[in-house]
Amino acid sequence: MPLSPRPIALTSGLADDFAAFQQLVVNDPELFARLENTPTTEAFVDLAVELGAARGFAFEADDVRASLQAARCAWIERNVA
Amino acid sequence: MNAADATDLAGWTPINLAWRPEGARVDWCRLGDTRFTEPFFEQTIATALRHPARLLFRRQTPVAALEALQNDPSSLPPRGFIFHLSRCGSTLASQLLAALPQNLVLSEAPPIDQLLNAQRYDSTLTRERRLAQIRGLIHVLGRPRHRDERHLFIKFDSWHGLDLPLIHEAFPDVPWIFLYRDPIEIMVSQHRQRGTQMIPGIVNPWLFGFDPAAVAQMSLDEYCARVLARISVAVAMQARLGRGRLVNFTELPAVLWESLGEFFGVEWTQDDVARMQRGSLADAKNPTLSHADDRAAKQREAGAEIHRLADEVLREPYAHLESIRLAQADGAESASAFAASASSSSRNQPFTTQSITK
Repeated sequence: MPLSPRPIALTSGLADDFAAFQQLVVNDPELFARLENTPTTEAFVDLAVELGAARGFAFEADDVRASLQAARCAWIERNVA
Repeated sequence: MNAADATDLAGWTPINLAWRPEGARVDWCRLGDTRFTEPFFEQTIATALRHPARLLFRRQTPVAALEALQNDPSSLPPRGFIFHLSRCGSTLASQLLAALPQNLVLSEAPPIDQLLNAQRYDSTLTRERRLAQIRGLIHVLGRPRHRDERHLFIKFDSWHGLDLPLIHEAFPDVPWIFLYRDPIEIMVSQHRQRGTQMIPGIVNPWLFGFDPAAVAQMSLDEYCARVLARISVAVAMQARLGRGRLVNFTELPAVLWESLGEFFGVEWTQDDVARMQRGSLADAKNPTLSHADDRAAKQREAGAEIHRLADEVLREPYAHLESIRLAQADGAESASAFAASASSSSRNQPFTTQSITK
């Protein structure tokens, strides 16, 4: 098993493009900082779509919202085997 | 894991560790300059994850990644470990330490508990690798996130008193304290609202070495008493390992600024002491409330069954802890006899015992 860090798998079933965008942000502190600097969830969603589109990714706001919901559920159930 | 990968985890904090059929995975999050000032690690993480960026852009590594971080030069060396019997002022102690900006205080961090449970899930894990992973986890948790942070303190879960030999082996030079109190007061508090370790099946009775058939016959109060006894006996056996000090709840909070600073090897300024004293006026677990001395109320509330269990199961372990504590105090008094002077007489001044925990 490779030991190098990898993005957490949060988006099974969602667009591959968003998963690829996650990979990009996880490995780019400056990009992460821009997204972390958003004051509201909607501002975050809008910026994620904008930054994704600028980098050639085709996901939409609903993909980001669905991914967020999946991530919340995954966190709540993090220790359920 | 190579050096480049370890560097790649700079800025990431482990927030959870999950055991999966394919192996244990560490969940990492970018916390930025988040300070751990809430009563429990998990509360700080829950707050941090409210931001969608921190929630969505996390990463995972195998647990073995921790082994490469056991000598992480960016982390603060631990200054002190806090063990406790539950409901005996440990949250007060950790909150007063966290009130000082130079202290990074991790209180009952789930990844530490999850890692200490490793042998339940992986019986092939060698002690050497367990030690390396524990050192790696604590070091990476202990990376400063603020320029002021210089001292790392870790408050463990109450049942980690059973893991003292392992933790002491991982960090033999780190001083540790064990907080405890009158068992009746703990039992009444647990009777009101039970901690996870007091409910068989939430924290696995396996940890305490209990026979499952016997556990099935126990009332929750009896189970509570036996858990407390098990932890008390285990810590008493380790108390003479060195670097350990027993602290009774009745010594709080003044013992923190009167002698524990010196014990941990740090100096508190007058301002530090004033901050801790102000902090001690609030309820540790709910800082919006003022503290209340509830010892007498708990003693009155204890029913016949709690008295019976405290007498039959806990009287002897408690007396043993007290005898060790008093012997340690005598030793400390002897050692400091030459230093006794008018200017250092604060430890002889009377102080008001305050009850903090519910």
